[in-house]
Amino acid sequence: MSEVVPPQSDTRTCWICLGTSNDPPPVGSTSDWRRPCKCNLTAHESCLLDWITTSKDELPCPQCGTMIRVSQSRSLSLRLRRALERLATRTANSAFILAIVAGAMSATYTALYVHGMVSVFCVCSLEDSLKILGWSKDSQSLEEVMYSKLLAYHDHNISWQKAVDGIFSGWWLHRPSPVAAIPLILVLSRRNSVPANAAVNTALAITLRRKVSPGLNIADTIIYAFPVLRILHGALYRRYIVPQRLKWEREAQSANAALVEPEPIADELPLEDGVGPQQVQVDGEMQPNLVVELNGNLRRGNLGVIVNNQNITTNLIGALVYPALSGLVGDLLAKIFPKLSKRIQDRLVRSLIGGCLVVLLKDVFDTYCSYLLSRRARTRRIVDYTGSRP
Amino acid sequence: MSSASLRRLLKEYSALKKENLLLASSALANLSHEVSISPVSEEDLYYWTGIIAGVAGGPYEGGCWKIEIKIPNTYPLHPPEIRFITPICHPNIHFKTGEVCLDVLKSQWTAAWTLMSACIAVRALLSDPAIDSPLNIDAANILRCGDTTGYDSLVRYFTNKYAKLCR
Repeated sequence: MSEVVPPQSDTRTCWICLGTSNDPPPVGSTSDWRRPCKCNLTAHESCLLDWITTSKDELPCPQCGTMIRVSQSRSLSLRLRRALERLATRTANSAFILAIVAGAMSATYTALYVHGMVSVFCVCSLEDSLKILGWSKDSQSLEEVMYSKLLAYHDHNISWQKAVDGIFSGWWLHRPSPVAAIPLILVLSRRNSVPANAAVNTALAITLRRKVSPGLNIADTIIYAFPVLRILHGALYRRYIVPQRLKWEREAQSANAALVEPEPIADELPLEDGVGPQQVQVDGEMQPNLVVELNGNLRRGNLGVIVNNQNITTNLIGALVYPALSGLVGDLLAKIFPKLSKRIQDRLVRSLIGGCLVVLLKDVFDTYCSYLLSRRARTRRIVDYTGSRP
Repeated sequence: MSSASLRRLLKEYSALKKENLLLASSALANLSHEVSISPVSEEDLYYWTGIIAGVAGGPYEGGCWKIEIKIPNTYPLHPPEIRFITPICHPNIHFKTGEVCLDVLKSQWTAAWTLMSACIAVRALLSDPAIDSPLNIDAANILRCGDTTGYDSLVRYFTNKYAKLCR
């Protein structure tokens, strides 16, 4: 290629920016030259770091295919985060499969059961059938209520209207319960529509609370204040934390700080505003192909906020384990501070406090990880190829 | 504007100019330019146009296609967008939009490519179509059936119809 100047005596050409050693070095970076691979290609260290951009530890040289190695400081927190993300992805995958298998099995079982039941009734007398199926007149489940009513109707004890009423009165046992909606609501509330979230949360809180205590006590007050807390937290987080985190993440993406254009972007970002941790998915472990896909967005500066597959699953798992974590932290608090548990008798209140703590801790951890990523990017160096060259 | 991409484009542009001067002054001048590219205006190095000539001996012989090159601010970390303006009949090039499906312009891009080398790769694609990733399904289907005669005459027809003017 004509552009690549043939190696004259001691003129080096960077294969990325095409700058030679006679040119001034790229802006805002060191002018260190590196030969990270077997072949003759040389490049500025900052150009190579921009080329590698991601936290990937190595990429092949486009000419000779030698892996270009990057040295960077290792961090326990970042590794922990990565491990957690991986665990979440794996858990989500197996849980998904489990749900499908369980669903298929229970559907099959129900179908088989119903057919068996009907067969028994077709062949035997009503009384015998009930005996075979192990049902008694004063039992409670839907089928049992149904058949006790049917039996009564059969014996001319009640009219058919009463029998049907009786059957339907048993439906509360099998009626869709709001409890089943909890996981759905937890996941859905990760969406960024704040008013909808608040409405859903309040509705859920009222439904569940009404069953425990009809009166208004401190727990109810906190529950009703929860959506407000969430909105407040989301707003504060977006206002103060997100810009800083994005700045750090962008620094982590581009070793050359001069490339990073400071832009006020926080307000336009499609942020996820969820009840659980990870309100904003600022993903530092971005894959290189994502960078390519985000080609256009890279300039606009929102490269940090990516909804990739891993983030969706971590989000999902985060939402689903949130109640368990909240309860755990609430119980832990009660263990550590016995006085607190004496003052706050209601476990729900303690769990709510625990939940808030979980969110705060997650925020702190995420922010710290962003900071670590940017710091690691600053310490990132390209390793020269040390082996023999052909 | 990112300074890194601008510096690199300036480098490429000046290298091309130097090469053109060299060609013009040498005996190679009568060797027809197979690929020539230049920015539309020197004010904006992020938008180039060019001419790609068909390979002699193939169905594209005698044709000249105008292309446009849009360069992202993140160049050379990300590939330029190359698009045919003159309609061309090719399995990997969209007939209406001129979009090119070539791995080095997408996932296989590396900073070691230049605008010129990318255009040469596009020219090489003309005589070496990949029928697995077609943007022009009709052309790809003819090739898939092994009807090279039919494919050649179809390509020749479109070359004569649209791309003959510039010679």
